[in-house]
Amino acid sequence: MKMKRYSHYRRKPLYETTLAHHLWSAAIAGAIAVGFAVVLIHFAYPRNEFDINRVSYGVVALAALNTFDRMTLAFVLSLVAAVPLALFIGSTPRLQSILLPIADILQSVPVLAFFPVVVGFFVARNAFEFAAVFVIFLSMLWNIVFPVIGGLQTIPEDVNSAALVFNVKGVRKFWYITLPAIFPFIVTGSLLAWAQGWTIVIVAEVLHTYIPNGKISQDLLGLGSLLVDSNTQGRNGVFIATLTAMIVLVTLLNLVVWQPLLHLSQRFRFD
Amino acid sequence: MTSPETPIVLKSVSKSYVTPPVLVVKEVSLAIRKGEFFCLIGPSGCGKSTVIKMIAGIEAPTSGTIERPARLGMVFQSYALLPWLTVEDNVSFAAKMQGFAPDKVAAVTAHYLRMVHLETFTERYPRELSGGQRQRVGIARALAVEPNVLLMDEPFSALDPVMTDQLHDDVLRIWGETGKTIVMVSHNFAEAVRLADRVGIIKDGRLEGIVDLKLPRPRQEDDAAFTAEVHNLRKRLEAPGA
Repeated sequence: MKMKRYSHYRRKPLYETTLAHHLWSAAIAGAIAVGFAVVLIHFAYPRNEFDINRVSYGVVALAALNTFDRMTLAFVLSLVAAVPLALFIGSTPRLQSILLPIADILQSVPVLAFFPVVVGFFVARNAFEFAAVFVIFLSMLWNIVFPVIGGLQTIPEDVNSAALVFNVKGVRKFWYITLPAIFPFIVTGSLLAWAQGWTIVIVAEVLHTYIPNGKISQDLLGLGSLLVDSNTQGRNGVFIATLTAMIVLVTLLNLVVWQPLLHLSQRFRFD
Repeated sequence: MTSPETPIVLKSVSKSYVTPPVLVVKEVSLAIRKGEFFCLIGPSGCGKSTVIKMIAGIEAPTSGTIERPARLGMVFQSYALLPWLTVEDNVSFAAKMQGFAPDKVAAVTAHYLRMVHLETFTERYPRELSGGQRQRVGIARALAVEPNVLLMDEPFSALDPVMTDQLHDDVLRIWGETGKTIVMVSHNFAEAVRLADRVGIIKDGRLEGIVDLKLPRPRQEDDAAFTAEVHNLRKRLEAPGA
């Protein structure tokens, strides 16, 4: 009788999944795929022409999409760069004692100090979009690096010892222990990164102020440029509509992405 | 050489650290017998945990040799469970990492969760368990790798006395059922006398002696002989130059 009672162990995979899990995973994967397609289309065929005196709600919506695309690309790049960088810095106490102070100095240099050089570099190559993306990327990077380094320190010594004893090493240790352990810190770092990104995007899209004899037409269409240009041109209606769009976008992201991720990440924290 | 009769052999094992420069284990030689319950006892900072970590392969000795079986299981003071995995997954994860076939992973997981009486807690997460239940998961996980030797590093020191008593009974039962060789580190004299066949006394990094406990089992703490053995251990540890 007892064996029958536990017979479900025989076919049960290591991590239990149900149809609902698969459907949910497929929905998330689909949403991410669509999101990336939109981002790629944006950068393949950028639509940045706008006249600040003739801005419709459609233009505000397109600006919101453009800004979201830039933020997303910058975020993905900063995530891809920050996590390995944090893992490298935090890999050994000795390396950390050398590299952490260097990283600390680098992160304290204001991102906007680089901006004129960055704009000059990318504008010379006719890559206006990437000037903005690069500056947003720089502003996001350190917000992820430092929490992840801190997250590595939260893995208890006994857990590292258990990994050794139970033969969990190398890639398997990264996949099964390190990555889940730093997941909450990636989430909180990402939240900070996006918050910083929203601040910087307002400046990053207004390229004309960094180009000698620049014109408004050289700005990238986005919420940041609409906010700044509508304000300087006295277009209060456009300013309010743009600000509203930004608040809606930030709120939506918070509700749909960050709150669920924050909730999920609680499961991954060591007590 | 490790033999079937002595699965763990330490020969003149020392361990020192560079920063700060300190010699924590000094020339420890020891042979653990197959199937015995061996306890290393000593005050905090005496080097007993370092000895068990060297046996486990977590730390390397500075000098000397350690012979040990290829597969060891270990129970940790702080449980060392993964909070994002359920009870069942914590146990099966360790078995999976040994390269066991899926059927075997499932079988050993079920078997050892039953052995520690957690068969109805399989879907719980560690944070939903009491300290004693968490340590039971730690024991099931250590056993699920089918070790030749089970190492336990102060496994009960974070638990309350009632829970500790229950887990003592569980460990003795599991030891009886599995016949595993157990090496445990403790700073509790009564715990050592209750559980162990032999007790190694460590003081200032040196193995000062081994006490062969001849008390019949089950051992009761209110027996005069039990109390005498506890007193004897304490006396040996506290003796100057012991």
